[in-house]
Amino acid sequence: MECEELKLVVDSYLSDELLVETNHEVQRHLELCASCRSDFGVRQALRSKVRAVLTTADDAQIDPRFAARLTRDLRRSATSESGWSFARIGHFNTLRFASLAFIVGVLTVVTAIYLRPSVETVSSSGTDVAIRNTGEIAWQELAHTAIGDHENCAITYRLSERPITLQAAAIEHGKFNEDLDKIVMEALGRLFSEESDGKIEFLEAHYCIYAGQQFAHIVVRQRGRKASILIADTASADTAATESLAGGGPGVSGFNVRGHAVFVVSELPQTANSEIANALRPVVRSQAEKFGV
Amino acid sequence: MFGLARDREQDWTSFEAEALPLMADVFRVARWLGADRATAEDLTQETLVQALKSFHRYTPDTNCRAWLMTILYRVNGKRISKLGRLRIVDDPDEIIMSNIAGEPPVPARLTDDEVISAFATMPQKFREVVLLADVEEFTYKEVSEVLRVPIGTVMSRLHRGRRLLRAQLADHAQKLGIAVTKAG
Repeated sequence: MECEELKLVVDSYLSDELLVETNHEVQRHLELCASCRSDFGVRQALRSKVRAVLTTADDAQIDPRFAARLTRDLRRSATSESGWSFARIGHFNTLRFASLAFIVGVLTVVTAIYLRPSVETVSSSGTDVAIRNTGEIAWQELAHTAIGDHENCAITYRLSERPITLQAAAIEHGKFNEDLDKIVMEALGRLFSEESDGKIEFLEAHYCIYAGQQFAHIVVRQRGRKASILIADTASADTAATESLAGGGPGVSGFNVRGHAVFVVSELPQTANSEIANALRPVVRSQAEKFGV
Repeated sequence: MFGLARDREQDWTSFEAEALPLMADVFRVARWLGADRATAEDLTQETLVQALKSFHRYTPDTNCRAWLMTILYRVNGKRISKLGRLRIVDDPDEIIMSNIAGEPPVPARLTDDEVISAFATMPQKFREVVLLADVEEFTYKEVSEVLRVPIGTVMSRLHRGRRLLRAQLADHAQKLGIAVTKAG
Protein backbone atom coordinates (compact mmCIF):
# COMPACT_ATOMS: atom_id res chain seq x y z
CA MET A 1 0.00 0.00 0.00
CA GLU A 2 1.20 3.50 -0.90
CA CYS A 3 0.63 6.73 1.03
CA GLU A 4 -2.00 7.95 -1.46
CA GLU A 5 -3.91 4.67 -1.15
CA LEU A 6 -3.82 4.92 2.62
CA LYS A 7 -5.37 8.39 2.50
CA LEU A 8 -8.36 6.89 0.71
CA VAL A 9 -9.05 4.37 3.44
CA VAL A 10 -7.74 6.09 6.56
CA ASP A 11 -11.20 7.24 7.68
CA SER A 12 -12.58 3.72 7.47
CA TYR A 13 -9.49 2.36 9.23
CA LEU A 14 -10.07 4.85 12.03
CA SER A 15 -13.66 3.64 12.31
CA ASP A 16 -12.59 -0.02 12.22
CA GLU A 17 -14.64 -0.59 9.08
CA LEU A 18 -12.08 -2.19 6.77
CA LEU A 19 -11.83 -5.80 5.75
CA VAL A 20 -9.24 -7.80 7.68
CA GLU A 21 -6.89 -7.99 4.66
CA THR A 22 -7.01 -4.24 4.06
CA ASN A 23 -6.53 -3.66 7.78
CA HIS A 24 -3.31 -5.66 7.63
CA GLU A 25 -2.10 -3.69 4.62
CA VAL A 26 -2.76 -0.42 6.46
CA GLN A 27 -0.95 -1.66 9.56
CA ARG A 28 2.05 -2.76 7.51
CA HIS A 29 2.21 0.64 5.82
CA LEU A 30 1.92 2.51 9.12
CA GLU A 31 4.78 0.46 10.55
CA LEU A 32 7.04 1.49 7.69
CA CYS A 33 5.92 5.08 7.00
CA ALA A 34 6.64 7.61 9.75
CA SER A 35 4.75 10.39 7.99
CA CYS A 36 1.51 8.40 7.65
CA ARG A 37 1.97 7.06 11.18
CA SER A 38 2.20 10.59 12.52
CA ASP A 39 -0.81 11.71 10.47
CA PHE A 40 -2.86 8.75 11.70
CA GLY A 41 -1.82 9.46 15.29
CA VAL A 42 -3.18 13.01 14.99
CA ARG A 43 -6.47 11.79 13.55
CA GLN A 44 -6.82 9.13 16.21
CA ALA A 45 -6.03 11.57 19.03
CA LEU A 46 -8.54 14.10 17.72
CA ARG A 47 -11.26 11.45 17.46
CA SER A 48 -10.58 10.29 21.02
CA LYS A 49 -10.56 13.86 22.29
CA VAL A 50 -13.88 14.70 20.61
CA ARG A 51 -15.46 11.54 21.97
CA ALA A 52 -14.18 12.13 25.49
CA VAL A 53 -15.30 15.77 25.56
CA LEU A 54 -18.75 15.21 24.10
CA THR A 55 -19.61 12.22 26.27
CA THR A 56 -18.54 13.81 29.55
CA ALA A 57 -19.55 17.47 29.05
CA ASP A 58 -21.82 18.67 31.85
CA ASP A 59 -24.21 20.14 29.30
CA ALA A 60 -24.91 16.72 27.85
CA GLN A 61 -25.66 14.92 31.13
CA ILE A 62 -29.27 14.10 31.84
CA ASP A 63 -30.85 15.68 34.92
CA PRO A 64 -31.38 12.82 37.40
CA ARG A 65 -34.67 14.33 38.54
CA PHE A 66 -35.95 14.32 34.97
CA ALA A 67 -34.70 10.74 34.49
CA ALA A 68 -36.41 9.58 37.68
CA ARG A 69 -39.67 11.29 36.75
CA LEU A 70 -39.64 9.88 33.23
CA THR A 71 -38.85 6.39 34.53
CA ARG A 72 -41.76 6.61 36.94
CA ASP A 73 -44.15 7.94 34.28
CA LEU A 74 -43.15 5.30 31.75
CA ARG A 75 -43.61 2.56 34.33
CA ARG A 76 -46.97 3.95 35.29
CA SER A 77 -48.05 4.19 31.67
CA ALA A 78 -46.82 0.69 30.82
CA THR A 79 -48.44 -1.09 33.72
CA SER A 80 -51.56 0.95 34.32
CA GLU A 81 -54.83 -0.89 33.75
CA SER A 82 -56.48 2.43 32.98
CA GLY A 83 -54.28 2.96 29.93
CA TRP A 84 -53.44 6.44 31.14
CA SER A 85 -52.12 8.40 28.19
CA PHE A 86 -48.50 9.14 28.90
CA ALA A 87 -48.24 12.07 26.52
CA ARG A 88 -50.58 14.07 28.71
CA ILE A 89 -48.06 14.27 31.50
CA GLY A 90 -45.21 15.28 29.28
CA HIS A 91 -42.45 17.74 29.89
CA PHE A 92 -43.85 20.85 28.29
CA ASN A 93 -41.74 23.67 29.56
CA THR A 94 -41.30 25.79 26.48
CA LEU A 95 -43.36 28.81 25.67
CA ARG A 96 -44.75 27.38 22.49
CA PHE A 97 -46.46 24.68 24.51
CA ALA A 98 -47.56 26.96 27.32
CA SER A 99 -51.27 27.00 26.53
CA LEU A 100 -51.35 23.30 25.75
CA ALA A 101 -49.48 22.64 28.97
CA PHE A 102 -52.11 24.56 30.89
CA ILE A 103 -54.92 22.47 29.42
CA VAL A 104 -52.95 19.29 29.94
CA GLY A 105 -52.22 20.34 33.52
CA VAL A 106 -55.91 20.79 34.26
CA LEU A 107 -56.73 17.44 32.61
CA THR A 108 -53.93 15.74 34.49
CA VAL A 109 -55.12 17.05 37.85
CA VAL A 110 -58.68 15.99 37.09
CA THR A 111 -57.48 12.59 35.85
CA ALA A 112 -55.24 12.18 38.88
CA ILE A 113 -58.13 12.88 41.23
CA TYR A 114 -60.38 10.35 39.48
CA LEU A 115 -57.66 7.74 39.19
CA ARG A 116 -56.18 8.36 42.61
CA PRO A 117 -56.21 4.72 43.77
CA SER A 118 -54.44 3.46 40.63
CA VAL A 119 -52.01 6.37 40.56
CA GLU A 120 -50.85 5.59 44.04
CA THR A 121 -50.56 1.92 43.19
CA VAL A 122 -47.32 1.70 41.31
CA SER A 123 -45.57 -1.39 40.03
CA SER A 124 -41.91 -2.17 40.41
CA SER A 125 -41.48 -5.41 38.53
CA GLY A 126 -44.31 -7.72 39.31
CA THR A 127 -47.60 -7.22 41.05
CA ASP A 128 -49.06 -4.05 42.49
CA VAL A 129 -47.04 -2.13 45.00
CA ALA A 130 -48.64 -0.28 47.85
CA ILE A 131 -47.00 2.94 48.90
CA ARG A 132 -47.18 2.74 52.65
CA ASN A 133 -45.84 6.13 53.48
CA THR A 134 -46.58 8.93 51.07
CA GLY A 135 -44.74 11.63 53.00
CA GLU A 136 -41.87 12.36 50.61
CA ILE A 137 -42.54 12.11 46.88
CA ALA A 138 -38.94 12.66 45.79
CA TRP A 139 -37.73 9.67 47.79
CA GLN A 140 -40.39 7.47 46.20
CA GLU A 141 -39.54 8.63 42.69
CA LEU A 142 -35.91 7.80 43.26
CA ALA A 143 -36.84 4.51 44.93
CA HIS A 144 -38.13 3.11 41.62
CA THR A 145 -34.87 4.02 39.94
CA ALA A 146 -32.99 2.38 42.84
CA ILE A 147 -34.97 -0.84 42.27
CA GLY A 148 -34.07 -0.64 38.57
CA ASP A 149 -30.40 -0.21 39.45
CA HIS A 150 -30.49 -3.18 41.83
CA GLU A 151 -32.03 -5.37 39.13
CA ASN A 152 -29.87 -4.11 36.26
CA CYS A 153 -26.59 -3.82 38.12
CA ALA A 154 -26.49 -6.17 41.12
CA ILE A 155 -28.70 -8.99 39.78
CA THR A 156 -28.07 -8.85 36.01
CA TYR A 157 -25.36 -6.57 34.77
CA ARG A 158 -26.95 -4.46 32.03
CA LEU A 159 -25.67 -0.95 32.62
CA SER A 160 -24.71 1.15 29.62
CA GLU A 161 -21.89 2.88 31.49
CA ARG A 162 -19.12 1.13 33.35
CA PRO A 163 -19.18 1.82 37.11
CA ILE A 164 -16.22 3.54 38.76
CA THR A 165 -14.70 2.82 42.17
CA LEU A 166 -15.87 4.66 45.26
CA GLN A 167 -12.36 6.09 45.56
CA ALA A 168 -12.66 7.58 42.06
CA ALA A 169 -16.17 8.79 42.95
CA ALA A 170 -14.76 10.51 46.05
CA ILE A 171 -12.57 12.59 43.74
CA GLU A 172 -15.11 13.16 40.97
CA HIS A 173 -18.40 13.39 42.86
CA GLY A 174 -17.52 14.36 46.42
CA LYS A 175 -15.60 13.14 49.45
CA PHE A 176 -18.81 11.74 50.91
CA ASN A 177 -18.16 8.58 48.86
CA GLU A 178 -14.79 7.97 50.48
CA ASP A 179 -14.73 4.67 52.41
CA LEU A 180 -18.50 4.49 52.21
CA ASP A 181 -18.31 0.71 51.79
CA LYS A 182 -16.31 0.38 55.02
CA ILE A 183 -18.69 2.41 57.17
CA VAL A 184 -21.72 0.61 55.71
CA MET A 185 -20.19 -2.81 56.33
CA GLU A 186 -19.22 -1.84 59.89
CA ALA A 187 -22.81 -0.82 60.58
CA LEU A 188 -24.17 -4.02 59.05
CA GLY A 189 -21.60 -6.08 60.96
CA ARG A 190 -22.92 -4.59 64.19
CA LEU A 191 -26.52 -5.24 63.14
CA PHE A 192 -25.92 -8.88 62.25
CA SER A 193 -23.35 -9.68 64.92
CA GLU A 194 -25.02 -12.88 66.13
CA GLU A 195 -24.64 -16.09 64.11
CA SER A 196 -28.41 -16.59 64.29
CA ASP A 197 -28.95 -13.20 62.63
CA GLY A 198 -27.58 -14.60 59.38
CA LYS A 199 -24.08 -13.66 58.26
CA ILE A 200 -23.86 -10.66 55.93
CA GLU A 201 -21.34 -10.95 53.15
CA PHE A 202 -19.75 -8.06 51.24
CA LEU A 203 -19.83 -8.62 47.46
CA GLU A 204 -18.99 -5.37 45.72
CA ALA A 205 -18.89 -1.59 46.01
CA HIS A 206 -18.80 0.96 43.21
CA TYR A 207 -20.40 4.11 41.85
CA CYS A 208 -22.78 3.50 38.95
CA ILE A 209 -25.35 5.24 36.78
CA TYR A 210 -28.78 3.85 36.01
CA ALA A 211 -31.40 5.75 33.98
CA GLY A 212 -29.28 8.87 34.37
CA GLN A 213 -29.21 8.62 38.17
CA GLN A 214 -25.88 8.28 39.95
CA PHE A 215 -25.63 5.94 42.92
CA ALA A 216 -22.96 4.85 45.36
CA HIS A 217 -23.75 1.14 45.31
CA ILE A 218 -22.77 -1.49 47.85
CA VAL A 219 -23.86 -5.05 47.14
CA VAL A 220 -24.10 -7.58 49.97
CA ARG A 221 -25.59 -11.03 50.42
CA GLN A 222 -27.58 -12.38 53.31
CA ARG A 223 -29.31 -15.74 53.54
CA GLY A 224 -28.39 -16.39 49.89
CA ARG A 225 -30.05 -13.23 48.60
CA LYS A 226 -28.37 -10.16 47.18
CA ALA A 227 -29.17 -6.80 48.69
CA SER A 228 -28.20 -3.38 47.35
CA ILE A 229 -27.46 -0.34 49.46
CA LEU A 230 -27.82 2.60 47.08
CA ILE A 231 -27.07 6.18 48.03
CA ALA A 232 -27.85 9.17 45.80
CA ASP A 233 -27.62 12.92 46.21
CA THR A 234 -30.95 14.62 46.78
CA ALA A 235 -32.18 18.16 47.26
CA SER A 236 -35.13 16.94 49.32
CA ALA A 237 -35.49 17.48 53.04
CA ASP A 238 -34.72 14.75 55.56
CA THR A 239 -37.49 12.20 56.02
CA ALA A 240 -38.70 11.72 59.57
CA ALA A 241 -38.86 7.94 59.38
CA THR A 242 -37.77 5.07 57.19
CA GLU A 243 -40.09 4.66 54.21
CA SER A 244 -40.88 1.48 52.31
CA LEU A 245 -42.23 0.21 49.02
CA ALA A 246 -43.03 -3.49 48.75
CA GLY A 247 -44.60 -5.62 46.08
CA GLY A 248 -44.03 -8.67 43.87
CA GLY A 249 -40.43 -7.79 43.05
CA PRO A 250 -37.70 -6.54 45.33
CA GLY A 251 -38.77 -4.37 48.23
CA VAL A 252 -37.09 -1.12 49.14
CA SER A 253 -36.69 0.78 52.40
CA GLY A 254 -34.82 3.98 53.04
CA PHE A 255 -34.79 7.63 53.95
CA ASN A 256 -33.38 11.04 53.12
CA VAL A 257 -30.73 12.43 55.42
CA ARG A 258 -28.45 15.45 55.04
CA GLY A 259 -28.81 15.67 51.24
CA HIS A 260 -28.55 11.94 50.62
CA ALA A 261 -31.29 9.50 49.67
CA VAL A 262 -30.56 5.99 50.95
CA PHE A 263 -32.22 2.82 49.60
CA VAL A 264 -31.95 -0.77 50.75
CA VAL A 265 -33.26 -2.94 47.91
CA SER A 266 -33.60 -6.71 48.14
CA GLU A 267 -35.96 -9.66 48.12
CA LEU A 268 -35.31 -10.19 51.81
CA PRO A 269 -38.37 -9.73 54.02
CA GLN A 270 -39.35 -6.08 54.10
CA THR A 271 -38.68 -5.96 57.83
CA ALA A 272 -35.04 -6.84 57.07
CA ASN A 273 -34.77 -4.01 54.52
CA SER A 274 -36.20 -1.59 57.07
CA GLU A 275 -33.90 -2.88 59.79
CA ILE A 276 -30.85 -2.40 57.57
CA ALA A 277 -32.02 1.08 56.59
CA ASN A 278 -32.50 2.05 60.23
CA ALA A 279 -28.98 0.85 61.03
CA LEU A 280 -27.55 2.95 58.22
CA ARG A 281 -29.20 6.25 59.11
CA PRO A 282 -26.71 7.33 61.84
CA VAL A 283 -23.63 6.36 59.83
CA VAL A 284 -24.80 8.09 56.65
CA ARG A 285 -25.68 11.18 58.67
CA SER A 286 -22.27 11.10 60.31
CA GLN A 287 -20.50 10.68 56.95
CA ALA A 288 -22.48 13.59 55.46
CA GLU A 289 -21.64 15.81 58.42
CA LYS A 290 -17.99 14.79 58.30
CA PHE A 291 -17.70 16.08 54.76
CA GLY A 292 -19.65 19.24 55.40
CA VAL A 293 -22.88 18.36 53.61
CA MET B 1 -50.45 -0.39 23.76
CA PHE B 2 -50.27 -3.61 25.74
CA GLY B 3 -52.57 -6.58 26.25
CA LEU B 4 -53.05 -8.56 29.43
CA ALA B 5 -51.61 -7.41 32.74
CA ARG B 6 -49.00 -10.20 32.65
CA ASP B 7 -47.98 -9.26 29.08
CA ARG B 8 -47.69 -5.63 30.14
CA GLU B 9 -45.47 -6.61 33.03
CA GLN B 10 -43.27 -8.74 30.78
CA ASP B 11 -42.99 -5.99 28.19
CA TRP B 12 -42.17 -3.49 30.90
CA THR B 13 -39.54 -5.76 32.43
CA SER B 14 -37.84 -6.17 29.03
CA PHE B 15 -38.13 -2.48 28.28
CA GLU B 16 -36.73 -1.59 31.70
CA ALA B 17 -33.78 -3.91 31.19
CA GLU B 18 -32.91 -2.99 27.62
CA ALA B 19 -34.16 0.51 26.81
CA LEU B 20 -34.33 2.39 30.09
CA PRO B 21 -30.58 2.22 30.90
CA LEU B 22 -30.01 4.03 27.58
CA MET B 23 -32.05 7.08 28.53
CA ALA B 24 -28.93 9.15 29.26
CA ASP B 25 -27.49 8.23 25.84
CA VAL B 26 -30.66 9.35 24.08
CA PHE B 27 -30.59 12.64 25.97
CA ARG B 28 -26.91 13.21 25.15
CA VAL B 29 -27.43 12.66 21.42
CA ALA B 30 -30.51 14.91 21.50
CA ARG B 31 -28.42 17.65 23.12
CA TRP B 32 -25.64 17.42 20.54
CA LEU B 33 -28.17 17.46 17.74
CA GLY B 34 -28.58 21.07 18.72
CA ALA B 35 -31.52 20.92 21.08
CA ASP B 36 -31.54 23.05 24.22
CA ARG B 37 -31.94 21.19 27.51
CA ALA B 38 -35.72 21.50 27.67
CA THR B 39 -36.15 20.40 24.06
CA ALA B 40 -33.69 17.53 24.57
CA GLU B 41 -35.80 16.36 27.51
CA ASP B 42 -38.93 16.55 25.35
CA LEU B 43 -37.16 14.56 22.63
CA THR B 44 -35.92 11.97 25.15
CA GLN B 45 -39.38 11.56 26.59
CA GLU B 46 -41.07 11.31 23.19
CA THR B 47 -38.45 8.82 22.01
CA LEU B 48 -38.94 6.54 25.01
CA VAL B 49 -42.73 6.81 24.82
CA GLN B 50 -42.62 5.82 21.15
CA ALA B 51 -40.16 3.03 21.96
CA LEU B 52 -42.42 1.72 24.72
CA LYS B 53 -45.44 1.75 22.42
CA SER B 54 -43.64 -0.17 19.70
CA PHE B 55 -41.42 -2.34 21.88
CA HIS B 56 -43.11 -5.48 20.50
CA ARG B 57 -41.36 -4.68 17.19
CA TYR B 58 -37.94 -4.70 18.78
CA THR B 59 -36.05 -8.01 18.72
CA PRO B 60 -34.65 -8.64 22.23
CA ASP B 61 -30.88 -8.62 22.66
CA THR B 62 -30.25 -6.92 19.31
CA ASN B 63 -28.95 -3.35 19.20
CA CYS B 64 -31.43 -1.44 21.36
CA ARG B 65 -29.24 1.66 21.34
CA ALA B 66 -29.31 1.94 17.55
CA TRP B 67 -33.05 1.25 17.57
CA LEU B 68 -33.65 4.08 20.05
CA MET B 69 -31.48 6.45 18.01
CA THR B 70 -33.55 5.68 14.92
CA ILE B 71 -36.67 6.67 16.83
CA LEU B 72 -34.97 9.79 18.19
CA TYR B 73 -34.08 10.89 14.66
CA ARG B 74 -37.66 10.40 13.47
CA VAL B 75 -38.99 12.38 16.43
CA ASN B 76 -36.42 15.13 15.92
CA GLY B 77 -37.13 15.20 12.19
CA LYS B 78 -40.81 15.85 12.89
CA ARG B 79 -39.88 18.59 15.35
CA ILE B 80 -37.65 20.33 12.81
CA SER B 81 -40.26 19.98 10.07
CA LYS B 82 -42.81 21.68 12.30
CA LEU B 83 -40.40 24.53 12.87
CA GLY B 84 -40.08 24.95 9.09
CA ARG B 85 -36.34 24.62 9.09
CA LEU B 86 -36.17 22.30 6.10
CA ARG B 87 -36.29 24.99 3.44
CA ILE B 88 -32.94 24.50 1.74
CA VAL B 89 -32.30 27.18 -0.86
CA ASP B 90 -28.70 26.26 -1.55
CA ASP B 91 -26.24 23.54 -0.70
CA PRO B 92 -24.00 25.30 1.81
CA ASP B 93 -21.93 22.14 2.36
CA GLU B 94 -20.31 22.36 -1.05
CA ILE B 95 -19.45 26.00 -0.44
CA ILE B 96 -18.00 25.24 2.99
CA MET B 97 -16.00 22.25 1.83
CA SER B 98 -14.63 24.02 -1.23
CA ASN B 99 -13.14 26.67 1.05
CA ILE B 100 -11.09 24.13 3.05
CA ALA B 101 -7.74 23.64 1.40
CA GLY B 102 -6.05 20.24 1.89
CA GLU B 103 -5.99 18.63 5.32
CA PRO B 104 -6.21 21.33 7.98
CA PRO B 105 -3.63 21.16 10.78
CA VAL B 106 -4.81 20.29 14.28
CA PRO B 107 -3.92 22.39 17.34
CA ALA B 108 -1.50 20.56 19.62
CA ARG B 109 -3.55 21.43 22.70
CA LEU B 110 -7.28 21.61 22.73
CA THR B 111 -9.57 22.67 25.51
CA ASP B 112 -12.97 21.06 25.99
CA ASP B 113 -14.69 24.35 25.16
CA GLU B 114 -12.80 24.62 21.87
CA VAL B 115 -13.86 21.13 20.86
CA ILE B 116 -17.50 21.78 21.81
CA SER B 117 -17.51 25.12 20.04
CA ALA B 118 -15.99 23.66 16.85
CA PHE B 119 -18.41 20.74 16.90
CA ALA B 120 -21.45 22.95 17.54
CA THR B 121 -20.68 25.20 14.57
CA MET B 122 -20.55 22.33 12.07
CA PRO B 123 -23.53 22.01 9.70
CA GLN B 124 -26.06 19.49 10.98
CA LYS B 125 -25.46 17.07 8.09
CA PHE B 126 -21.83 16.53 9.12
CA ARG B 127 -22.32 16.98 12.83
CA GLU B 128 -24.80 14.11 13.08
CA VAL B 129 -22.52 11.67 11.27
CA VAL B 130 -19.48 12.62 13.37
CA LEU B 131 -21.68 12.34 16.46
CA LEU B 132 -23.00 8.88 15.64
CA ALA B 133 -19.81 7.39 14.20
CA ASP B 134 -17.07 9.00 16.30
CA VAL B 135 -18.75 9.91 19.58
CA GLU B 136 -21.41 7.22 19.91
CA GLU B 137 -19.30 4.69 17.99
CA PHE B 138 -22.02 3.26 15.77
CA THR B 139 -20.93 1.30 12.70
CA TYR B 140 -21.40 2.76 9.21
CA LYS B 141 -24.31 0.37 8.70
CA GLU B 142 -26.01 1.49 11.91
CA VAL B 143 -25.47 5.17 11.07
CA SER B 144 -26.86 4.53 7.62
CA GLU B 145 -29.99 2.94 9.12
CA VAL B 146 -30.49 5.66 11.72
CA LEU B 147 -30.16 8.47 9.18
CA ARG B 148 -31.76 6.54 6.30
CA VAL B 149 -28.95 7.39 3.90
CA PRO B 150 -26.69 5.02 1.91
CA ILE B 151 -23.46 3.81 3.53
CA GLY B 152 -21.48 5.67 0.84
CA THR B 153 -23.10 8.91 1.99
CA VAL B 154 -22.18 8.12 5.59
CA MET B 155 -18.55 7.58 4.58
CA SER B 156 -18.45 10.74 2.52
CA ARG B 157 -20.05 12.88 5.22
CA LEU B 158 -17.81 11.42 7.91
CA HIS B 159 -14.69 12.19 5.88
CA ARG B 160 -15.85 15.73 5.21
CA GLY B 161 -17.14 16.19 8.76
CA ARG B 162 -13.82 15.21 10.31
CA ARG B 163 -12.01 17.51 7.91
CA LEU B 164 -14.38 20.35 8.70
CA LEU B 165 -13.90 19.82 12.42
CA ARG B 166 -10.13 20.04 12.00
CA ALA B 167 -10.59 23.20 9.94
CA GLN B 168 -12.70 24.81 12.67
CA LEU B 169 -10.13 23.91 15.32
CA ALA B 170 -7.20 25.05 13.19
CA ASP B 171 -8.92 28.33 12.50
CA HIS B 172 -9.54 28.84 16.20
CA ALA B 173 -5.93 27.95 17.05
CA GLN B 174 -4.59 30.32 14.41
CA LYS B 175 -6.55 33.18 15.91
CA LEU B 176 -5.04 32.44 19.32
CA GLY B 177 -1.55 31.73 17.97
CA ILE B 178 -1.55 28.10 19.23
CA ALA B 179 0.93 25.57 17.77
CA VAL B 180 -0.67 23.15 15.32
CA THR B 181 0.05 19.58 14.26
CA LYS B 182 -0.17 18.78 10.58
CA ALA B 183 -2.48 15.96 9.57
CA GLY B 184 -2.45 14.59 6.05
